[in-house]
Amino acid sequence: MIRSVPFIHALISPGIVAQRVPAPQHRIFRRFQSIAIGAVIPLGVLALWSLAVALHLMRPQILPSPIAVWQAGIDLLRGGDLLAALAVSLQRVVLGLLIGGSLGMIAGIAMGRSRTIDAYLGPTVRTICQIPTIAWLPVFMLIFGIGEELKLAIIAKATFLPLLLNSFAGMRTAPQRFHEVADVLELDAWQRLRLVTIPAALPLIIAGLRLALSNAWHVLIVVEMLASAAGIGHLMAWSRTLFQLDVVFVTIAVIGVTGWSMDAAMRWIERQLTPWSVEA
Amino acid sequence: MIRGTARPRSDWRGVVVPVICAAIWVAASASGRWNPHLLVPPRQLAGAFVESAKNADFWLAVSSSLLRLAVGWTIGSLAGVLLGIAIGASRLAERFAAPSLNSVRQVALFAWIPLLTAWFGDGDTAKTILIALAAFFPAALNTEIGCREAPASLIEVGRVFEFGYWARIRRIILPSARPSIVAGLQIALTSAWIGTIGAEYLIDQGAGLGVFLASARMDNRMDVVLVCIVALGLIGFVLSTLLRLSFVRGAFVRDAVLADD
Repeated sequence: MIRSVPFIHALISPGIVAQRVPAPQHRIFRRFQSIAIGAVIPLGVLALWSLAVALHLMRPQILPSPIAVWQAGIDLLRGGDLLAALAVSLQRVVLGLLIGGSLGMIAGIAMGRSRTIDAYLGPTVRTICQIPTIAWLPVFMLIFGIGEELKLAIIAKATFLPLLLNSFAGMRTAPQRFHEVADVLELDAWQRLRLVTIPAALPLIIAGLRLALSNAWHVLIVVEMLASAAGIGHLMAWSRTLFQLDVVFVTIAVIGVTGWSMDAAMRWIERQLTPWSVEA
Repeated sequence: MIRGTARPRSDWRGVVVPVICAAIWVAASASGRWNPHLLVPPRQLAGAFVESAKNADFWLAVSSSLLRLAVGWTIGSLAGVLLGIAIGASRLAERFAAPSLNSVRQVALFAWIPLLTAWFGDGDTAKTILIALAAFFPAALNTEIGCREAPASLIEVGRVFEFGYWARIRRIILPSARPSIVAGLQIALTSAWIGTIGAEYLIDQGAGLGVFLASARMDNRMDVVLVCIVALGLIGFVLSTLLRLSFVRGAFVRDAVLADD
């Protein structure tokens, strides 16, 4: 019935396409086949990588062998460094999201509900948000220094806009007819909120949360690379300084997997909370 | 309650908040109780704009960034559109490439910088590759979606006419994917501009607006930092407006040509 903004949706989840549903016995085979076909390129890259290492095409400091990278990953896991760094980063994301996301949601709902508030605040907020988060980094570094406040402030900035825009759109998304029906049925404010406003707004707000999390993760890595003594971005930048490229490879993979997991978790929440909006 | 009506073009109420903020700013700097390094007085900020506009280094930085952006965006979006067409037009190509593409896309853009600088050094190669990467993904994804959503009825018409692979792409898929590709190129430009500033800022070598910004921060010059931010915001805005306008005009020209046929 109600879908999220197509543009945002397209950014987050490409390739949602209605497919013919195959018979159950074929489904497992198809799934296996898809995995096998999809694995061709990664395996090819792995083979070329191993070959390049075996033929000494590049120095091992520049291109560590796949086995060395695997070993580095195991060592980092066993030593606890990796999980500790990841915990620091995730904690920053969650705290920053709580601050920036809730402020963005409050502002978005207020602007969405009231044309007057929108008329006063809208142009200013939209203009400020034209400037990418990365550009605010130096200003925030001058104001907040390079401590924990910097990370929270920059993540709050990164998560504020998606939640503002999406909760704003969520407030405006219910068709006029629904409100007319609510008028006819003489729903009170609470029923109207429960039956019309929330079902219409929730899919958009969750889509906003997904975008906010992804933005937060990207920008946090930058901040941690530039100015931090802990976290996964710091681990990566520090290993690069020491020219331990095997650790750099591991951290790149961890950053990717973490980003993917957060998005998958959000998609799961989306399915649980708003089953009416998820396409088949 | 009025819903869904278009907002009027200009509304004086939008000016109220900026004016109040400006008044607070002027009053707070005049009171002298705040650190002028952080709360830059209006006159000093105006001075910084003039100073930067006269500074040849500033313009060198801006032009280096723009050049880098142009090269990176062209390479990245070209590669993205080509791959997007390949994946969007063929189910088999999609099954080969989409899983790898989606996995690589999960890695935060700037997380590639340590690897790129280790492989290609601190020069322009690493930065250009990063900018190209920033442009590549939005271009590829939007092209792919656009190609996939070519109307099935048109594809069937193509089958009736016994179009080959290339004819199908050129005459059916590309025309219907056009709006989506244009949108992808626009997002790619914004993304590439962020990539340009970020790469310059993080690598901090050579000339560029990001390098200029980083050195202004190192010198504790909040006024120059603010000038840089306004400049990069403006450049981003102007570039995406120019791109949109050029495509809108292109669309009109194309329609006229089609009408002539």
